[in-house]
Amino acid sequence: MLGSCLLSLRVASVAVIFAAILGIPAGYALGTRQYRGKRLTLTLLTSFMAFPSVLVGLLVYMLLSHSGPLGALELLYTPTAIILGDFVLAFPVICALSAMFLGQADPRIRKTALGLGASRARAALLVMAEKRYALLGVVLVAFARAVTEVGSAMIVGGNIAYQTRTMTTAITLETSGGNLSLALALGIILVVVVFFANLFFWFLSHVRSG
Amino acid sequence: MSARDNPLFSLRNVTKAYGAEEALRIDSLDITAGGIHLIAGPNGAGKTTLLEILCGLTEPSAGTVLFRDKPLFPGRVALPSIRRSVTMVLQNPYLFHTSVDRTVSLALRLKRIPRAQHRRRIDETLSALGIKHLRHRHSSNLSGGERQRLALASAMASDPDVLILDEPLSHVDSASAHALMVLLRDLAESRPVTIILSTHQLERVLCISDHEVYLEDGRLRPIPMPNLIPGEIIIYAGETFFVLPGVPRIRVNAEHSGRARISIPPESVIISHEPLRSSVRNSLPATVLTHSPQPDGSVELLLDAGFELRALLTPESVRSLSLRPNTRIVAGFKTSAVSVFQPPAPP
Repeated sequence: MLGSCLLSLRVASVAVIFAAILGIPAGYALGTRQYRGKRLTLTLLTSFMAFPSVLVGLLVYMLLSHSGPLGALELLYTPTAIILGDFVLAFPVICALSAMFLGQADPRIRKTALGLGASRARAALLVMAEKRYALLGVVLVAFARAVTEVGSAMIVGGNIAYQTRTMTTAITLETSGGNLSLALALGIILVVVVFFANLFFWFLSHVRSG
Repeated sequence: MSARDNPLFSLRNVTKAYGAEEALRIDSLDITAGGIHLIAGPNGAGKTTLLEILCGLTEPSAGTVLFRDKPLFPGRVALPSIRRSVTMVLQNPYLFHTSVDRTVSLALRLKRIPRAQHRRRIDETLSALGIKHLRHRHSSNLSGGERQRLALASAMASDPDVLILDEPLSHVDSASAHALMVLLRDLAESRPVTIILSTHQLERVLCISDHEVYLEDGRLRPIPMPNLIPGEIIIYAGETFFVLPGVPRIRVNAEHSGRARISIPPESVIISHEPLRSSVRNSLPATVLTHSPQPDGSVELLLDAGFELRALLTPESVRSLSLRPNTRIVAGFKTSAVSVFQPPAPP
């Protein structure tokens, strides 16, 4: 049970870190620049936030299966495959919400930074730094999405004991096996993990800003 | 010609349009190094657009902008130099969510000032602006005047060659505005810095500026203040006089001695052939240079009184006094008609 718990945290964390590294700058670019088709892009991205995890699992499965384009890497039924699935789920969340928050950021932040001599990249980092608590919230939402998903982890991870069994796939397995008390215990642990992640965010935003 | 004689900024045929609306059109403008340069004009005249172009924040739609003879626009060759040398404070500056001294430290980091110098520069700048006692306070807990000073401190701490201030007096109370003007004048005289500031309150800021341009509808116009003359105020026998080389002393109402400029409304100038025996206490011998009819039916006389002096008369007065070029006359005006612009006296 501990192994499933740690695996869930590890794959969700790694996926969300990569999704944040790529998704926040992409969200900044999408949210702050004016270009033709901006509204359509943001609408599509927002729609991807609600992408069913089983469909994401199916797409990643097709990508990683032996006949798929990345089949030679032999990643199917490994934690890396679950990370890839979680990344696909977390990226639209981080990118779309970052675009919304950073696009609505006070335009004086960027102008003040540029006026003080910042490069464009440095000014962008300062905008992100000023909206850090909003972005922390975005990352938390993405983490919650990744750590609680089951469809993708089941399809591309295979729910192999001690290797790719996460908390959510374990809950599914125990429920179908009639072991409801263990399934419920795992569910409670999952809720506690998300609760502590929320608590950590609350602490960060209130103590640091105060 | 030495580098010092070259303009700091040189603008030629610069236009800036937002969509179909043209916000700025400047045929030619040079800004020299040193002193306080005033960009005045009503709200919406294009002042902020001009300042943002000078700072490299906004790209003009057309035209060339040179900074120290290198192209800023087009080409952005001078942009790294602008980032090192020029600092701009916005009209309503944004203050980062941190303490006062960390805000200034951040500004120093953006200018790549070595970290070893940060403590000294922060202390010196906050002391100069009178906000050292607020150094640990969060920027969100400052008053309007304190916020303006912190924004200025962030800009000044790196000791920029050019300080651009967009409407620095618009968000501060009267006392803070006065203190800010004293500070800017001191800064311009004590450091090799060029200060460019915009304002819609020409008469308020004229007292500290060395050079002025006036913008209206995005275009450069003559300053709507004729007979603006630079000189010096002296106090003699309890009276205050404005003095210019080769010109009789002009009686004015001034607060203290020192450099100043005066403005004489053309409609207040009285023309006669002999000095007047009246309450008019200033009489200057002058020669008529030109006279030209005005759209409102009056006639504008351009006089040589040791300086160029404009006077507005009725056509009947011009005829009855037989005024024509080279006619020698006496130009008189009341002491109370003269507006005096001089830097605020230091406390």
